[in-house]
Amino acid sequence: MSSAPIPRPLDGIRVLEFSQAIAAPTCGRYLSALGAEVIKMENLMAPDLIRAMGPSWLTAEVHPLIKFDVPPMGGEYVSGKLSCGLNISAPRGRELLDDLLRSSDVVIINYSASAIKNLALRGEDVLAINPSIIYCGLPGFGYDEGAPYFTYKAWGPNQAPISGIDHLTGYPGDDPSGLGSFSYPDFTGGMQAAFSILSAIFDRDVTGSGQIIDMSQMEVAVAALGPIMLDYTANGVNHGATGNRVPWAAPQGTYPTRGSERWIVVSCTEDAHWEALCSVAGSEALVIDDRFSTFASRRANADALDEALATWTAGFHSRDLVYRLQAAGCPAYLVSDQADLLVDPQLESRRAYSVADHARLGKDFTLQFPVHMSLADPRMPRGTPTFGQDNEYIFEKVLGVSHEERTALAESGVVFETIQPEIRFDNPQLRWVRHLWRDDWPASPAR
Amino acid sequence: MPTFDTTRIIDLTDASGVYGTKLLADHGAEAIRIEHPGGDPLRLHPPFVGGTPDPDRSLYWHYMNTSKKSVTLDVETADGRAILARLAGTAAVVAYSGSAERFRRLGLDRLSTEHPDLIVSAVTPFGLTGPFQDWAGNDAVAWGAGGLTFSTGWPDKPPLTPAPIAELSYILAGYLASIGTLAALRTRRRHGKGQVVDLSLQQAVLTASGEAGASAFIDDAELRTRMGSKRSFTGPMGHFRTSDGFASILALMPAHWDAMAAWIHERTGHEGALDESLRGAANARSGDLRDLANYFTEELAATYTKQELFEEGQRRGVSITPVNDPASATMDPQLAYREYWRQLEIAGERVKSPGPPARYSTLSWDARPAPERGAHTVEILEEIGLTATQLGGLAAAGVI
Repeated sequence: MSSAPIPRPLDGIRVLEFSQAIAAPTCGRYLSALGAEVIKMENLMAPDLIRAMGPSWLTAEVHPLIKFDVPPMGGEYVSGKLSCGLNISAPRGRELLDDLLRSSDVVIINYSASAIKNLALRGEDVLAINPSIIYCGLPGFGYDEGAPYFTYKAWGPNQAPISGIDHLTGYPGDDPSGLGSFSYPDFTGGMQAAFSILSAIFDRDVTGSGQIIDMSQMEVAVAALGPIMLDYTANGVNHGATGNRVPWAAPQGTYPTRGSERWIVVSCTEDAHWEALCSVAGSEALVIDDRFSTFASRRANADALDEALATWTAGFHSRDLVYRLQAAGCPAYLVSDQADLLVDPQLESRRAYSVADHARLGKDFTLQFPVHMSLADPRMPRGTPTFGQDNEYIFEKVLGVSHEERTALAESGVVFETIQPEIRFDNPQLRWVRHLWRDDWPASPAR
Repeated sequence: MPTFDTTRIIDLTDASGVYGTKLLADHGAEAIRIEHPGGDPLRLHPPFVGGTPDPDRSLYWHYMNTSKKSVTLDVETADGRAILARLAGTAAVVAYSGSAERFRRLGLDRLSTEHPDLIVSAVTPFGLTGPFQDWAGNDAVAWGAGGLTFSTGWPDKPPLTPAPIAELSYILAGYLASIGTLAALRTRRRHGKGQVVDLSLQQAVLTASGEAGASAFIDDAELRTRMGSKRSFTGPMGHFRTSDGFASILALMPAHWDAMAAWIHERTGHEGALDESLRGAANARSGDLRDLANYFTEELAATYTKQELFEEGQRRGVSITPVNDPASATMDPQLAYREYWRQLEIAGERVKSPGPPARYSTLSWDARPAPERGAHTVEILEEIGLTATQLGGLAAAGVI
């Protein structure tokens, strides 16, 4: 039997990513983890917001553009990719882009609809250059020149409100809290893009056909709320916020434990879960209270139940109580804060986070692809590339541009090279994650 | 021609994975939902047509099982598992979600050994490996374990699960499991090999943690706590009350605030909004200046409906959206213009339903009505070689 490793699923696929945080970069990272060569197309005049949000530790003495190379969020959104610094609005820049489009398989773009139009990067523009390319455009509200929101700006945090998610997040009778701290529709948008691109690749393998994929992040988010929307369209039920409660669980909520801002989540969807909780609670008042004896009575007395539970949990250390509840069979966990995530035994065992190679930092913190695959081994050993780090490979090796021309293009502002690449830093963030820095990281399969 | 018309998927998912098989089925895969002969427990998942629980009228079930076939089979019996194994031999994918313990009990870990070209995907609360692999979990537990409950809610109340009635971690899980499955399908076609696709709900949430996750924390060592929709570093950012609800307003860039200030002045007469000290990028307005900018924004927002504020703000170059409830989301003019909504047949009624999550130049997407319970049992089981006599015996024994 041959022992040659099986190539990764997207081996040989080249992706050009034109992106602003967060949906398209999320898609690009997944494709990269699955083996594609993902090239982030970067314009120094309009850098990705993720790069523009530099680290807190960088001092004022260094060149201001160096912050673009060491973004704290790079390990979530940029790592695993190649970086190409190119001004595609310059005539020679556009020629080089068109050459690159001819040798690529996928384009993913989440610029605003009007920017897509102005840059002549619509689906039909790109397929006119390469008819067998797979093009995925995901502006916030879709690409539709006659549509009412064509010129509208869709920053990530605005998508959860318009799709209905924020309205469903809050305490009953209160102003909606919304998601606030993160942008859910950016992720479903990026995931749908990856799903659609993979489908189109699977199809193209047989048909050779290119594809235009037209997405609206809002439409993806509304589809994710399907049953809630149907309850309105079929029954006229207009759902609102429920706190932590759902009709199919009682109790379900977050409860305080010892210390400041230490919470656990408990959710009993079956009688067995409640019995497990009671077995941990022993002779506490909540076990013998008739108001809590059946699922229906726990639902009906949810306020009293939450109060009784909170009184009971407040006496415990959070991790201790979670271990006891899980040992008995009751669904529960820490309401993990960000420091908890870094030392979470399950996440550590699953290698959810790791450190990856970085040209300026040596090593950088990286969130890994969440799906474990026994054969594909989707891992990202490469960290955030510096701005233009892969120009030599892309321009000279892929496109056959001479070194002299590349140098001249850099001087005339068509190509953006990494600034002062000799400057390196000890990454101060790594003091938090020494325990993740292991030597047993397997080599990545050859591209 | 559908993309996956020759791809058979055996669907053994519960709520935590069912959206993934729906996506694959709506894109053309042949997804065969395995239902307990007494009825799929998800048929009792609310909401229902008319509101009263009825296994034939679950809006949830019908939405999540569009374009699928239905075979009744009790996989908790030895006969049922034997038939499942035969069925798996005709399939490209077995898609499972639920506990890791049940995954092993059904013998799904062995299926991939028996059929080397089979893809077995599993969505479990904490994954198929690791110290907590057998811990119990669900949507609420996943949001806590993935770190995003901690930063959701108001500071004076307990942390919140994001939109708990929508079980949004299950949507992330469905996507990620199907992304892994699609990648594995390509490997299978090119190299004839299947594999195990293993996703935890905890990591499905973690991957969406972004600016509220560990990467941001290790930069400045400041915990991201719950502050509702507002942020301490700037204003306006978050929800503001309108005459009919709320709108979400962001003034990230200097030009955003300048447009806001001119608008506030024009609409409310507040000269102070034009003050030089308020100008600049988002972080120029913190502390008292944030409170002042928020005050002016509240005065402005109260004079419009949420949709008016949205459209007028966007016209002026400010990033605003309405905080829609489900009712107002179904009336959104952009979705109407793009003819997003479809009619889905559920329990004999035509119900306005979300449309395609992506549109394609040549691939197809179609959400066909969900099947009646066991509608394809005979057809599929005869195809894999069971005789009418055998089927009768199995039915009598309650296996199908």
